[in-house]
Amino acid sequence: MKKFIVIVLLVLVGLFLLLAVSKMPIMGDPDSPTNAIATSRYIAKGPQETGCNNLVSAIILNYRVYDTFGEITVIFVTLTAALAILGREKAGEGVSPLKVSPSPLVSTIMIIYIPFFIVFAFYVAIHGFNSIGGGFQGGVILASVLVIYALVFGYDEAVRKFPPKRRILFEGLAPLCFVVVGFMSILAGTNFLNLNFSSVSHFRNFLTLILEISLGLTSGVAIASLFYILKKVERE
Amino acid sequence: MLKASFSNLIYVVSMILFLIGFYAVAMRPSLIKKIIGINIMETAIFLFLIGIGNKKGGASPLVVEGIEKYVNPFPQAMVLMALVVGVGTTALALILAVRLFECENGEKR
Amino acid sequence: MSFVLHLPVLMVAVPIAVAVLISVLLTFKRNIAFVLSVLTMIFCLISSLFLMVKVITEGSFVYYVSDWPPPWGIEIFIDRLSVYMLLLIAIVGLISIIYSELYIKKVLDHQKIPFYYMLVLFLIGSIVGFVISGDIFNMFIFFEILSLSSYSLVAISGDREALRAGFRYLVMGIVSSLFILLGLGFIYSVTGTLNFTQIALRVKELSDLTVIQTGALLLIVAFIIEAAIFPLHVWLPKAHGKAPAPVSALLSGLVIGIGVFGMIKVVYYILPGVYPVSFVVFFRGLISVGIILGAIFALFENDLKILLAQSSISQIGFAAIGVFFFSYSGLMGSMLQLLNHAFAKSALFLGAGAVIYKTGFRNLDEMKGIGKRMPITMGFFAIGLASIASIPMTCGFVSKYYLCLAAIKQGLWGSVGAILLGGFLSLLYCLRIISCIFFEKPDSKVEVKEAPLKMLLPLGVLAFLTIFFGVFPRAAFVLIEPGVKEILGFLR
Repeated sequence: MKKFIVIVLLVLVGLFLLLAVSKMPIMGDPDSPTNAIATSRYIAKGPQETGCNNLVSAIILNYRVYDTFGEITVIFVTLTAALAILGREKAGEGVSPLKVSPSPLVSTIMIIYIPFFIVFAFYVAIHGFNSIGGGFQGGVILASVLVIYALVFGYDEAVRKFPPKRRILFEGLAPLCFVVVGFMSILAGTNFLNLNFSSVSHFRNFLTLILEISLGLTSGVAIASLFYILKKVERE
Repeated sequence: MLKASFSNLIYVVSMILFLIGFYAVAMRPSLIKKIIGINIMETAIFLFLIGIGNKKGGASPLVVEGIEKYVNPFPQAMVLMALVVGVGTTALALILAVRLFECENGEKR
Repeated sequence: MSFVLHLPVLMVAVPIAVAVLISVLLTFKRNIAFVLSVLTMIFCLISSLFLMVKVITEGSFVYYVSDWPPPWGIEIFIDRLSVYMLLLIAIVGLISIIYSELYIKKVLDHQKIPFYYMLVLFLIGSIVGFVISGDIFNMFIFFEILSLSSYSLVAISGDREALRAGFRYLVMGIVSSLFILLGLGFIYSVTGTLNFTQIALRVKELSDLTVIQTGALLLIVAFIIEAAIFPLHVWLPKAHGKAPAPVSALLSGLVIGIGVFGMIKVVYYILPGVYPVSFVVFFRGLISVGIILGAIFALFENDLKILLAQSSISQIGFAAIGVFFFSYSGLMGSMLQLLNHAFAKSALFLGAGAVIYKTGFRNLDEMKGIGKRMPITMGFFAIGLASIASIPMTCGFVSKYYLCLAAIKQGLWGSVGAILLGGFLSLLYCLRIISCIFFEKPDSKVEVKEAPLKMLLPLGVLAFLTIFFGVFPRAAFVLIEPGVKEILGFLR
């Protein structure tokens, strides 16, 4: 009975949404209101006003950097919630060593590859400035390095290698960087999080780069920490 | 209505996906399936937003000399931010589900 | 005085930054969290007082974050109503944090305490961000932080019931935030912007309103979930009942009120005057049912905190119904009800928490005659109840008077009936609690003493504020009267 009601409700909602969709402007129309507004500033002036050739980076790191601040806070809130509900993992607590020791082939290849992975992560994060990439994308690659390390060499080894004490600084880095930059811009007499406050040339690009790297480090390390915390439960 | 829907096929598909996700959230008793349903809904909305930002013949929003037409970068930035938010919500949902599973199993033992 | 312009955005940034700092300092010093969060809340209170002076003397203002004008950048919009909400947030937040110190030490593990304060600070910062934001996508981001921290605060104790309540709240909450995202997609596709004032300008030029109405409907449904209005209220009783008492006070007093404020933002600021009559009648009907049903559920509930949560459903309905009257007295009643609910319901939850702290009793049967043992605590509790039951001389009476007036003026007899019946049922369940805690014979076995001063003081302040705004409602009118007139001006 419940199923029937839900399906009827969904069909009604679906018809309603489809009616709205059919009245929307045709997709890809160059004169639609969304495209008209975006072209007038983001595309026409973006590179000069922000220094980023990648317009998506220009938006998330300059035009709407306040949203990005909120967004990195979301990741941090999740991490705080994880710590509050599940608690931080500890190396060697209730040790259950790997049932199968890592194959020498896999571990050697990983040792060779991991530096390249990390370089690639930073490349992606820094390159988001001018081309494809960005802080979060680089951060996710960094997180994958930490996750792969735990999968190949065992969880305890990974926690010993990247102990919570060392991770904690990176976890809070980006929100603090954003707030510090915000205070700097207020002290310089402009509004909060204005990156163009200084007349020194390239200072804006420098700030953008700092924010980009801090976003990468924080999102990467925080996602890896979430993985470690969830993994701890699985083993207990 | 039908003709207009065909020209906006991506929007229609994303609405249908959204409803499928909604059905999973509403009807499935399993917590993991509810989380999967939430993710399907999210993906549907991302598809919808990216569709809104599309422009016929536009290049991806990386400014290169000689190209005049770019797609609208703002929906892409929105999707990027919403993706990260989605990671956060999914992680929290998993944390609660895992802890709940632990609690219920602990009581059986 | 130019620094006042920066205060709203600092009220968002400082709590978040302090919460992050606590996590970094945690390795050196564990018990710093409480002091830092109290200091942050005092900063918030002082800044909102400064802002109050500013908007009373000079009127509302806008602030461009990173100096980009809309529609390209994000705009922060401060008017009298948002400053009014900021004051409520700062007062209730400060009081709940001060109250938390002893209570949290008793109910939570030692390790969880700093994380508790961090989550509360995130909650406060994001509520402020949500209230002052002038951009829908920015609202969505802060809504997301707000809901994530509320889910985790509900589940923080880690026992099974709390986790279940938290998970159910999480599923409903995520669906509601996805509705916001979908709705803003619709709105963006036809207006090309997400800024409130810009949208309102563009909507006037549109010939076909279907898409924009769909977007508005989705946004309103999202806020209906967040404000726990009738068919979508199912998450509320367990979530608010099982959370620790100061968290219940914050969630019940502020967060669901924020849902109503979100509705006000959608209906008056973003999309004024695009609503067909059938929408409005439909929503008024739903809310009326919610007002009565919530009170009936509360009448038959035994667990005191869940009873209070059920009564929240009914009380927040009063605040929400005023939004859909589209009249001066309706909105006045709605804003006053938000104030009443913030102060009185927080006082009630804190009072229930004091009983749990002292005795561990949760059910009404166990609390027979507890008013004779803890006269001061229960006296403050009774003041809160009086305001919920809309006894004259309390704030609750003033708000419901205005709502009734608005409904009678427009001849909406169904709503008048719902308001009167809801008020009467509230009186009944309040009388039931009062007769149980004051006039029944106590179990002589249990020795109970008064709650400690650190808990009594916050309770007393809340009870005082409830009475104060009931006797002198004009004090609140300074902000809301011109504020309400201003946003009604947007309708034309």
